Amino acid sequence: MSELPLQQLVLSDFRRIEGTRVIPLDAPVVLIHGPNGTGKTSLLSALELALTGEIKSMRQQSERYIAHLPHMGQPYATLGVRVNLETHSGFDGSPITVGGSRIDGFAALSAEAARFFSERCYLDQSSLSRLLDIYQEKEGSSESALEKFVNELLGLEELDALRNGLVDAFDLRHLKKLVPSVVFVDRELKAAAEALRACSEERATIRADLGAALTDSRISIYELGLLRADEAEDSAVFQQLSELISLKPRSAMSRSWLITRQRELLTLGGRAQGLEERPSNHQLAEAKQAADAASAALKNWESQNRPWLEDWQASGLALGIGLDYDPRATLERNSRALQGELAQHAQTQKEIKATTEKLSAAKAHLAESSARLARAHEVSSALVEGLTLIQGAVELSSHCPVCDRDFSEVGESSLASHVAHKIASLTAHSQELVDLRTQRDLAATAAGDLEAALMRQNAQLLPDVKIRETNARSAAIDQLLEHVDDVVTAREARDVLGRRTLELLTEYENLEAAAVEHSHLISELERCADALELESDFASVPLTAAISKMTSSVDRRLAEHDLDTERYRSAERRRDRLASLLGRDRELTQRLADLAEEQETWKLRLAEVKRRQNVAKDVHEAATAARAEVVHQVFTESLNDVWRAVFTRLAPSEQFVPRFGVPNATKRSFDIELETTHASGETSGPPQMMLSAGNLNTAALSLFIALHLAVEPLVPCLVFDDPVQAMDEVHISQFAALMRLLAKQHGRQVVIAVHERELFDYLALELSPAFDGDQLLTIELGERSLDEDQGITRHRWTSDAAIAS
Amino acid sequence: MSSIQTVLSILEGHGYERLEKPLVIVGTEFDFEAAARGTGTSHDLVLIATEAVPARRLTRLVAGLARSLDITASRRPVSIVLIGKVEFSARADLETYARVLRVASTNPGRAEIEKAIAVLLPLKLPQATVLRSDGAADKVYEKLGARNTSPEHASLVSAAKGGTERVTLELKRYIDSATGWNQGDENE
Repeated sequence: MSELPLQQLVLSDFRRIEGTRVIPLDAPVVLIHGPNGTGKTSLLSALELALTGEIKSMRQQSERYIAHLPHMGQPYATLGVRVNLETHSGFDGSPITVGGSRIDGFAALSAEAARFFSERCYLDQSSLSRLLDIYQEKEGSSESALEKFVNELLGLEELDALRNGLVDAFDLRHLKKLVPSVVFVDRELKAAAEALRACSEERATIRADLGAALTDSRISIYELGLLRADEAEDSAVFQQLSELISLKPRSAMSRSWLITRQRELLTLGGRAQGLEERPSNHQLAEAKQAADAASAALKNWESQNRPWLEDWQASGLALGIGLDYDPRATLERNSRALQGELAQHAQTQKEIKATTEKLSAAKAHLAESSARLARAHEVSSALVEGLTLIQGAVELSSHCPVCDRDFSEVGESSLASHVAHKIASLTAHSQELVDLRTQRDLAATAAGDLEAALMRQNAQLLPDVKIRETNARSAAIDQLLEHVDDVVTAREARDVLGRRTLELLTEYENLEAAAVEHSHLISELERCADALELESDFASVPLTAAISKMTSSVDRRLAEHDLDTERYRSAERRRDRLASLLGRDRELTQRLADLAEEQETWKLRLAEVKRRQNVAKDVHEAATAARAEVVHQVFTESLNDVWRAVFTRLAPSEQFVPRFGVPNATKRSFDIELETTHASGETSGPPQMMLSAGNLNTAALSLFIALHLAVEPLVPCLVFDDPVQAMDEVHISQFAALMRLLAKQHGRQVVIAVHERELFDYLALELSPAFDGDQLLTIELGERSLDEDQGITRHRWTSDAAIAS
Repeated sequence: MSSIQTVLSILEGHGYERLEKPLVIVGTEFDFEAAARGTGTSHDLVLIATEAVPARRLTRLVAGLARSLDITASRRPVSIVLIGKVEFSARADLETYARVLRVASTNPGRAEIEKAIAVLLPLKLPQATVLRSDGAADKVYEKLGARNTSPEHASLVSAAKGGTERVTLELKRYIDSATGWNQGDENE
């Protein structure tokens, strides 16, 4: 029976088992019996540990349970297992060592198989009564075991991934958030529509302007070409207007030329007016005659008077006197000067005489003063010398050395003071000498001055020659003065004649110039008229009138010229505006086409986005439908149907059948709720409420089996540790039948440990081999294990002769 | 069809073999109304009785049969299908010798019988796993219908294996590529 998953368990010093035991497991059904405390549960937990690497029920109580696993007094335990299953990559059949805080070696099963075994194959003794609670317990926010089982069974990950991944497809706003380019497409589409609208509006405006421009252009065509305003088609207007403008005639008389003529005529007009204000031509002859007569009179006068006037004038010049202007005054002034010179001479002579007399008197006074001084000087100087000599001698004595008398007799003062007084008085006498000397010096000076004056006066006297010349000159001037009146009269006459002659000549010259000007003016006017192509007859009309007429003509032509120019300019402006509007219209038309194309592109893209959105929605909806179907299928077929099948087999008379409430399929996660259905088909309360304690255990056991059966049997075995403790006999027999069914018809290897002998025997009978090759292994612990066969019995099928075949 | 016949037909439908009347066990005849035995991997012996047979007699018959089986050391499990009203005490006596499968109605329907004898019948197990590898995709295609199974649908559906994020990314790529804008910026 090599396909059986569990083959053999070898355990040494493990928990209750002392020493080494080899437990064969290679039979479809293995029944283990052991009274309480003989190692029944130790054996099954050894199997769990060897297969999965842990004992879940013990781990849940204490993480340090490993320390308690070796048999009392042993340092470690070893567990070896032989299986026909998907094993762990590190597992090579070697046993694991358990002790202290660690497990050395590899458990037999792969992680997935190990999980399957511990969750769906092995129901330990302690878990059964709490199974429903355990299944529904939630650790924190994680899902309960039942939810986990169900979700695994549902396998909705992909469908949920699809639904959750595509959920944004249901709302365009969410889709835009997910795919920003959709926003862009939307925006571009709106922008294109807006641009299209703006462009259309602009073109409508341009078209309106174009209409107005066409009307204006037709007006210009009419003005330039004398066409009917509506003669040209819209399309031809521009061409026609352009041609008319290009055919603009070149005028012979440019505006500047006309302006020049206008200014010329203005100037000529001024000149003509000037001429009209002058004397007329016939006055010219009279003026000529008068001028000639005056010239003759002047000439006559010249011939008669000029010689003597020139002689008289020459006489003046001979005297050094210019007589061109005011000869009388000039001559009288010269005469007065000469008379003055002569009077001065006579005065000087008188003064010399007086001075000579004064000089004689002064000289006499000088001689007298000199004599007086000489005398006085002589007296005083001798006395002073003598006294000075005495002074030294009388200083100490009052005796006079001259007279030898005692001076004290005379008076109280001393002789010395007396002498000193005497010298002083003599010195005062010498002041007199000084005064005399001064007087003498003054007399000498006065005499000198007079001599000098005399010399000067003598020098001022005119020499005789000079006096003669002066007198002669004076006589000559007197002679000129005799004729001066004639000269003045003659000169005045000549001036009158000369002025008159000049005036007449000037007048004549002016008249002559006016005549020349008139002639020039006419020739210029004729030239101008020719240029202006006007008739000219300046003889018959006044020049100013002719000029005015010509000016009017020029003004008119200028006005015409300006009007013409303005029309062409206007036409050009209109043509340019028309061209600009036509160009803009073409541009806008093209742009409209481009924009429409662009809008269409974005529309198509958005439509494609929406189509794809719908594809995504379809997929989402399909996933939702698939999910609903899966949920329905799993809950009804896989879970509820199997559970019901198992439960009703174990408790056929129970009216309430437990089941999973079928959840709303569209919800992401399920709140697993258990309920019951009554035989009537009505849904009722949860199993905990509706079932008896015994049947609640049955419900739990049947759920465990159902969960095992609902999935692919990764580990096709079921291991129960005393599963029927609370069952009545009917349930036990039903359980036995179910186990037989699972072992013999559904290929599950079944391992059951029980502690009741009777039950063990009953199960051994019920699960006995049923066909050729079928086996049953019974393993008895406790004292029975000390027997030679170690309590292990392999029951083989033997043909049953009870019923004739 | 009588209830007995219905039971027999159900059993036969699941590989049981109808036994001739009277049932002979090790040479002894037992006058059960009907009996069947398992074939192949089953060696159950199923007896069928109705309320027509008095309880005491039925009990005696079953006790006798049990003894006969013991004599031959047969380990064949015995079940008895009881149809109709049978007193509890009688049922309890019977349970000493065999598994009693009770059909309470006198004229039970097929379903009632099936439920009562379910433990003799193989389990109807569902497809072991509803969705395998491509199961999800196949199911989605099935729902989409052949008309909608385009490469576009396939690209979204196949992304599901990579999880929600992968699907979202694929949706993003799929929609983005329709906009014709910045094809290279997908990963931004």
